[in-house]
Amino acid sequence: MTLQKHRLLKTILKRIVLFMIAMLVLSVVVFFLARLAPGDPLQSFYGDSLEMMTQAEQHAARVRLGLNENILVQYERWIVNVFHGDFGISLKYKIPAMQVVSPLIGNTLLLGTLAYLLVFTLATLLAVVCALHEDDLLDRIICKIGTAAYYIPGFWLGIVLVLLFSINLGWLPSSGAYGIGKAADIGNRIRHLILPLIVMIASHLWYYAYMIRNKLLDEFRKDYVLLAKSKGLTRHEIVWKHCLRNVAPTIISIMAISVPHVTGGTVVVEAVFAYPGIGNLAVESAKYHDYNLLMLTVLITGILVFLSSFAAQTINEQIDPRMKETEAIKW
Amino acid sequence: MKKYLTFFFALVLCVSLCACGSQSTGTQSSSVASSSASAGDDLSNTLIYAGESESTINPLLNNHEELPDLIFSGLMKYDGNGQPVPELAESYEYDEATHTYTFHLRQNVKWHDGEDFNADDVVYTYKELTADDTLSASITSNYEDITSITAPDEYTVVIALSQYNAAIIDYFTMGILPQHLLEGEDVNTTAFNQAPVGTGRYKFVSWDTAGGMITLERNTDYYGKVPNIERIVYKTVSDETTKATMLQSGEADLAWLNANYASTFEGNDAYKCWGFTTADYRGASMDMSSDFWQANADSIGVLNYALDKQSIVNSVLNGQGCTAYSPIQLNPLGTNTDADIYSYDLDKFAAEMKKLGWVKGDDGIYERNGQKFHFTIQTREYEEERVDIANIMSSMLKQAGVDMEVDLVTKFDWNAGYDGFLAGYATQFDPDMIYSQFVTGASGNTMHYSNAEIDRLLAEGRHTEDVAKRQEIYCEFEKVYAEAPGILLVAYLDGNYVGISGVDGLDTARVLGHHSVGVMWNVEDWTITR
Amino acid sequence: MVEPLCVRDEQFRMVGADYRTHIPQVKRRTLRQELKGKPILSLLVFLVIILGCIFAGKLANHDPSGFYLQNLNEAPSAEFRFGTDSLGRDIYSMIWYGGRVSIAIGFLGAAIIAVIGTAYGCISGTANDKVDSVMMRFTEICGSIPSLLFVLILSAVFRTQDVLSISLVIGITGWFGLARIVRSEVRQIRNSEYVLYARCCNGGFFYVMAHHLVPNFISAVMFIIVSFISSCMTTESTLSFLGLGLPVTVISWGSMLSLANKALIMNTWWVIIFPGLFLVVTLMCITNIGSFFRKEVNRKHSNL
Repeated sequence: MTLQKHRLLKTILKRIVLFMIAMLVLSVVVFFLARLAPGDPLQSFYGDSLEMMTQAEQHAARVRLGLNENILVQYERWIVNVFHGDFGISLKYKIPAMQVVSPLIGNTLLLGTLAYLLVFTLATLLAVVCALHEDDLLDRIICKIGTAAYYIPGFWLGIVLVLLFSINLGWLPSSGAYGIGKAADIGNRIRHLILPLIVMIASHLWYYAYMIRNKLLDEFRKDYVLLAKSKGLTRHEIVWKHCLRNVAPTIISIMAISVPHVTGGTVVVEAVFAYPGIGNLAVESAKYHDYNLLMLTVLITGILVFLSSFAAQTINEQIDPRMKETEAIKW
Repeated sequence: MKKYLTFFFALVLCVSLCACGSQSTGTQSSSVASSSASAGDDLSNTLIYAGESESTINPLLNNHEELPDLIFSGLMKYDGNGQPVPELAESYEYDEATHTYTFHLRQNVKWHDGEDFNADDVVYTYKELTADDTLSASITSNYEDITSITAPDEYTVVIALSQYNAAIIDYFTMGILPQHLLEGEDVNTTAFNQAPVGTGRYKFVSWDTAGGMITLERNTDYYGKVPNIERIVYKTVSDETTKATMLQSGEADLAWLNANYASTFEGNDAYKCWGFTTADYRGASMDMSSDFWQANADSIGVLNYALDKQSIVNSVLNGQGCTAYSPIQLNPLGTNTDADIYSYDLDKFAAEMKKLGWVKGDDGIYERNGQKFHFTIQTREYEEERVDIANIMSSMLKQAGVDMEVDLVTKFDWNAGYDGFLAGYATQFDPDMIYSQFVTGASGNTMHYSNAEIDRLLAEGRHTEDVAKRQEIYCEFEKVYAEAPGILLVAYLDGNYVGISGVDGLDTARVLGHHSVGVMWNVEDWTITR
Repeated sequence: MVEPLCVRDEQFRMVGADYRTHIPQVKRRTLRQELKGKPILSLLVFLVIILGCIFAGKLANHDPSGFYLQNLNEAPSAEFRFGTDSLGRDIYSMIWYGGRVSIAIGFLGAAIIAVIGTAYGCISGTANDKVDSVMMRFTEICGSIPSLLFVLILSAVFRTQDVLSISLVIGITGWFGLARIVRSEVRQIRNSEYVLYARCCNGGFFYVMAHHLVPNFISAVMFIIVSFISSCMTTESTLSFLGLGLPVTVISWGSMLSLANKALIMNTWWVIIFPGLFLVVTLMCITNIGSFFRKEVNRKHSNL
């Protein structure tokens, strides 16, 4: 028992260390790449009026903002400050980067989580339907439509949806996270989320549904299915009670590795629907060299991704201890 | 090894704590916003304005935006004709001998937080403007001539200048900041910038970043006319298309749109369109210090012959604008039509080029002294109309035998060796606004334009008091500049505002500035019915 | 003893060598059967599009970067087959020229991914366990950054965007998954006799990789590599939409689609529909062709 506990502790510790290393690598890569990029971060701070500043003034401003030092020194200072909970100020907003990001995290989390759950619920359902009708007309049609939907660029679909549902039909709002004074109104928030969610689902669903479908088809060829059938279980019982349960760890590992994919999707959706979120913020800060803000958005996404993948791994090991050695999903 | 482990442990804790903390503050701030806004869920007297994306609201940092103009007020303000009239000052005197302005301030003016407004606030603001070197020079250089700011009593401010400056009275429109909130703070990074307190027509209520909106409420204690519209919700939208779709789907009541988008609303009874004249022009501004223009400065003006500017106005601006020939063409003191010396004429172009010694090479591009007529200008990618103008210019010049390369950049880079950039400027108030842009070595002269005659004229204009005489000087300037320009002027833009039909009161008398800013100059007279 | 023989004779007959007089001829497979299961339609369509792009100069009836200022926002007609956009550019001509760029980015990006991915996978697969696990951890960490974010940061590094830099950015950020797959394939075959023999004979790493490793797993990863072509093309268009891709002056399907936003307000559906249609059709063709490469596992009959 204690041995088990000890091992558990060890795995957790190992994961935390791995997580730290990952974050460190991530921060180093982003920090140096961002500063390698040509362009002047002062422009974010002063906007167009930078044009009117003399070299001396610019230099003074750089010194004030700590942008003149060696990159290594800058990184060292940044990481020390991060340990003190200080992520630096955003050059564009001129307030601590955390203050810029924090109100937007909720929005993005809401969109991302809902999309994530919906994508996988629907993907599983769709996969079961397809698998049950393997190579039937229905299966083939769903496969074709699914592939087409997957390849329609998300931003383009979003634009067409806005044209249809917001402008022509006037059913749904075209932008934003909620209406005026409706921050706490769940119905209003959902109305704003419908179009973004449709785009998110359309552009991710089939990718995962197809994987799950193929896994299910493999599962149907196993002997226990024959046994179950001979016991007199119906097809649906076999699929839902046995096959799906056996595929569950696979689905969860797919879910784990899909987090970055879905997170990337929110960036596009936020841009199309002017949905205030950290994805949009990341694009903006990368464009305008708002270093501290960029670092923070990337770190937050990184943390989310790692946490969810660790969670998935842990769940899987609970479901099926054999999973420990299994690698991430192959195509 | 152990040491490293603890180090990592600390990092993970720190990061996760921050992440958790941020989430909770996120929900907090949105709940605060919702409670403050739910006080008036009734939107019947609320204007929803689809504005630009904002980072700070502070006249010292954003001197050219709508919001600071609503929340703050200055010693002076511009009236409908763009002339400065007293605002926080009840009256002022100017003493010619000592170049001294004496402002008599309004009494019983209250800051939005209830504190009294007095001369100390004015002194604080102008001290910042003249002494704080962390502010960008584009604003502070306007106040260079100020030598001293004093407050002899609570409601009098004396500002002394080193010499007469015709334009400084315009610059006294700068919004006044509250000393009691800002004293000792860094103006650039203070939290005040996200929760401003002013003396203007509207009070700042909340900034809900998660919902992308800034809420303002009318200032019922305002010393002038209290606005009709109770609330303004300023949506922070960065994208022009989104603004247009918001109008179409009823999520916004008023927005500034480009000419093409605005035209789709015309003829629709549910919407109203206002066409403002703006002093905002577009043109290719050449960097005179670049190698190419050092050698070929004489050949900028001639390019005007090869540009079919009217076609550009018709296509990019959908006809909402006019062709440009002078940088102060729509300024009351400019408007010298004699300066319009170039017409679209390719034959004339060929003849003039020949005169200048250019010969067409085999590839159809002019050459002189073994140098091709090839230069590169930079344009910011997200400014659609500038990109379009640049591309069409390039295609027109190419047909005429001049190779103008257009580079799209996210931000202008002044040290990358470009030969110019696609510029946009506006001189909607005093023509002296162009002083810093054209005078040799002046603070805003980033393109290193230098012309002794221009220097002389602009200095004279700045220090002349008689209006008729100034007009003469500026007309002369237009003519001289047209002959040796540094900017290949293309077009003036109209300011197209589109609103729902219930919005009323916008007054197009005012000539708007760069990016059509200034539409809210008479916001107190606006009304909205739904 | 004879008796049973007789009985046997009734059941079996003794026959000679030429017993079967009629050898049923193997029916020649008809063309139809030959083609069954092969992505002929996709191949044809893809070929047409490719040829159209190659011979864009012949097909286009207007200058793709020309501004026909007299013909703004024109609906499709005989003159402008797919209509014009708000600046009078001919969509039809742009499609063919733009296709060159888009498809080039797709292939170039996929090629970069293939090269880096296979090389990295081979190194990792043949290296010792420690190196292997470090290398795999690295791909995991990098793969966990949303690729769009990664692309975003990288694209800021390049000053000007052109076909090469975009492909490079997409390629550099896209190979992690492939490397993992290649590595697990390599690990399965790295101890085969022929690999060991080649290494014993002093075959260099790249020799072994090119002659023994790659040929053995290429069929397994071909499908994935082909599907990278389409994902690179999608990424390009998304980047252009976000304003991080090719400048508007370089015509590609992506940059054309990024104008869709504007066309939406202008109600010019042809600006939105045509580039989108071409992109999606091309992507689907590539996918169909790609799945042909997929090693079709001979599936048993379903037990269900």
